Amino acid sequence: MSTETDTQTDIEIDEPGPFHEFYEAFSENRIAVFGLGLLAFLIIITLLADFIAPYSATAQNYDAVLEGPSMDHPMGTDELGRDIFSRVLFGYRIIFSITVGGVMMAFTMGTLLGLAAGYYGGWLDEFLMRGVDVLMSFPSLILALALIAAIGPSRWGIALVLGIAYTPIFARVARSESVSLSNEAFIRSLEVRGVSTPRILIAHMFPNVLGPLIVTVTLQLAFGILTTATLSFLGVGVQPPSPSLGLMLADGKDIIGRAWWMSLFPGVAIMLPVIAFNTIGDGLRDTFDPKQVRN
Amino acid sequence: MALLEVDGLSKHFVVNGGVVPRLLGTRKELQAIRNVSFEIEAGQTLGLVGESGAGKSTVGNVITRIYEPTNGTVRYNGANVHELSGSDLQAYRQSVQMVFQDPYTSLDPRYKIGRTIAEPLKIHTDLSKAERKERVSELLETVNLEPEHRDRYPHELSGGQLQRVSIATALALDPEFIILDEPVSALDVSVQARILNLLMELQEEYELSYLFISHNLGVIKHLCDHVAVMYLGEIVEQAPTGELFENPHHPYTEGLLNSVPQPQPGGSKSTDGLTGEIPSALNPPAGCSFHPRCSYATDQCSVDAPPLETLDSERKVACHHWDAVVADQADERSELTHSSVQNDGTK
Amino acid sequence: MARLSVTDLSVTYRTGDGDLTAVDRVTFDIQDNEIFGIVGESGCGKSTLGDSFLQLLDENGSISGGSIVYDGMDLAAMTDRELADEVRGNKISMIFQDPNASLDPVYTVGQQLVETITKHLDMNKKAARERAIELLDDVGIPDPEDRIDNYPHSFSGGQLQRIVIAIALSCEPGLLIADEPTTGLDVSIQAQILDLLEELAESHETSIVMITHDLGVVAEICDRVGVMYAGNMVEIAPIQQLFDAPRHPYTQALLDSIPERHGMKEDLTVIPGHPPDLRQPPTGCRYNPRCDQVCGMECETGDVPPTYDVEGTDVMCYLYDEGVNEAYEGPTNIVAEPGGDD
Repeated sequence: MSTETDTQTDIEIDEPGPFHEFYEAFSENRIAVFGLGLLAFLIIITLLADFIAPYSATAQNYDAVLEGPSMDHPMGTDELGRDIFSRVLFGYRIIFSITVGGVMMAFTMGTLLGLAAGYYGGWLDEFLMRGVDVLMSFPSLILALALIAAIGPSRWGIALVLGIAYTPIFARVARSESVSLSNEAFIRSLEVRGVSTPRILIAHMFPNVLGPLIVTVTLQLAFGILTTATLSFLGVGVQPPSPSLGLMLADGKDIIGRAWWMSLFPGVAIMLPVIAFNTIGDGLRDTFDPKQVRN
Repeated sequence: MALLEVDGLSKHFVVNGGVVPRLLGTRKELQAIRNVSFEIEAGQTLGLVGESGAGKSTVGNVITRIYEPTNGTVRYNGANVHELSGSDLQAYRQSVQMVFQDPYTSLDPRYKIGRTIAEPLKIHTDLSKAERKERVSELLETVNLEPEHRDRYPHELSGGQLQRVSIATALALDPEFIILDEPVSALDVSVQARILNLLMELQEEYELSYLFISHNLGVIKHLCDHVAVMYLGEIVEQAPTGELFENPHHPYTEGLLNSVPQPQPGGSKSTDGLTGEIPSALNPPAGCSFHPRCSYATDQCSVDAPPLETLDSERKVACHHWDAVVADQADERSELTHSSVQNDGTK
Repeated sequence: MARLSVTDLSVTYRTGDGDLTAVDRVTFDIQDNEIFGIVGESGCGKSTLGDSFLQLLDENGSISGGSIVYDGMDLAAMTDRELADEVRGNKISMIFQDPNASLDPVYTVGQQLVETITKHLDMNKKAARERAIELLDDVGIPDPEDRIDNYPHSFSGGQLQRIVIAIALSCEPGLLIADEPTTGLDVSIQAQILDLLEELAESHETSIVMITHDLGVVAEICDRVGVMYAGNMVEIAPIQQLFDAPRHPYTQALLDSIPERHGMKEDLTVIPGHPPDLRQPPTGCRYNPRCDQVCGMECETGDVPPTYDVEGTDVMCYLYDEGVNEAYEGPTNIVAEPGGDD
């Protein structure tokens, strides 16, 4: 994300000076480092799903219906004889792409709106923030359900819904940072020097508010995973036969007494990235603590 | 024609400006500056002095177009600053620069020094990357920093060094006029001395004009050709520096000068300083806004606001009773010389 | 008589990059009813010195040597508990730069005054309130009977500092430590507060330690001054003598850098270089890398210089030692060697 600003300003490319400090502070937080390791592991198995997964996600095998965990099927099979392990791997691919897409969309829109609102103030601020208030007054799941009802369930539909539902959260964070930042002398001195407003917003304000925003990104990714899974669980998310962790959980819930693996493994699979994102987010928040940054 | 002409400048801010206060009628106006006029000739330094709430910084911020004025005009080389656009505005942005008080917050903490100094060059000139780099080195040298400082981040430098970086950035585009908003207030005296020396050198070398905003009368006295004293948003007195300090005509100027602790023990004690508190700028007293604290005040002062009168070519004062102030000082002086003559006699 | 005697006091901070001796073997006395100034630039250790009297140092700092004797007690050897019970607010009180930080915004100023008074003095609430009103009147708060029930936010910065002074003086302390008490205030208000402190010091028979960076403030109200540089007290002199005949090269340069002591637009004297990093202070005199009057090998090697008495000024500089500075003709009076415990 920060490379975006570096390529724009071709004067000098930043050395990792402050990042080194950041790395040291972050690496002291063991839980966060654990989260980062867990996330890296999940990303790797997701990317390599084609090679790791023993079966196709949709291949049905009526000779192996509702089989428990075994050497052939490490997480067992479902009622259509599909390999749950393979479906979890490909499910990750879908849930990650939806969540990351949605959160990045919210990040981009929310940050732009928030920065502009905080920087310009006045009626623009009032207008944007009242709009944000309206969006935030709906619980995000209800909002998501309503939006899905409007645009119909599809993979990118959910991403769009997440993007809209989470935009206010980023706008809030960006605005509060932007308000305090735009009173800083260096922003005023840039104005005096004739630096254009878009440049001030993108090249100066954005890198300075990035810290708190990254924290929000990681925490929202955790929520995004949960929301995506919930929508699928309710049947309005990813449509079958695409593998969806939420839907797998829903399918398994009625026969949990007979086939516990059908619920347990997708459930754990949802939990792992949520834990990873939350611990990373907490660690980042501690690291970005303004008191530490100032010193 | 003066380089900068400020005429009848006012700036009001709305406090409590939301929808609800507007409906409830609790919306208030803060008159940060009221009817401020002054001129700065090329190569000269005007000091703007006053206590908190005087509106000094607002004046600077209106001149640099951070704020639009509510009333009045700022003319630079004859052109109304707030009507500039396009290439004229670019030219104005280049020739008018500003240095802020707090060196720790006036530079982008995520930009290396070199990049901060190079930024205005990048925007306003078509120098190549190598040329910009060379210019940055030149500028660093001008403000007595080492070329290595280009690769440092602001948090690695001391306050005095950062203030020099701010000055270097301001100088990058060969400006004519620099607004210095409390540029040494956050610095230790020995560091302050270096910055003041640097500012004086630069003024001589580049024929710069300064608007020097400060609450520190010692610094103002040292550096400025003319001084304007502000109180609650208005200029109450304006005069050449020497005259203002030796012979203040406004009771506020007099009290302010007496309040400053002099780094010379046994001098006049601050007993005849100012009494009372500075009123809120949200609700300035009627008439002369200084009258509640003024020992010369009469009934007239609480009703009529005195206009800024031009006494001679150089001095302006806004007080109904300035002649009484001057007469009092003359008395005091003659008493002083009298008693010192007596002292000599007894020796 | 000396009200407070500080002898060879050192304060050390533990930091990630090694120990930092912020106050290094400082010795001075404060007399009865005296206003003693401690002046110096940022990082010279003046605030650390002030904080050390009541052991209000940051967690990583501690007194690493020497004594602070007040009223027969060695404050440096007392525990936090003992200090809180017997000394703080009672015998010695302290005021800081930001009056807001010293007052709790959720209690009225009256409640805060009464709390301090009843804690240290044997008074019931009613008597304490009477006394509180009296004190507010003393420090120049108008209508104290009404304003005593107001919360801190309804006072201006100058008035808050007056109230803080009232609280500090409520138990008639023998010593008031004032750390930059007027730095955030406007000049006209600063002048009023300085007058007030001077007046109260006299009427309450309190000695004041005035910690400031402002030589103007020092000249205005102090009787004697100590100048600090890099953790050392390099010069102690009566006020007039310090300004008329500064002895230490640092004091001389510091005074010369004030604009008021120069003609208009004249170049000001500049001290070259920067103060040293106290984790690795220079050998010899700590000022020697910036000094324009280095007079011998001793300046640059070994320990810090001894303290010499030069016509009533205590100065830590070899210029006043015949054995080092050949040009010096006066008598050499060593009053203190750098402590032997280091």
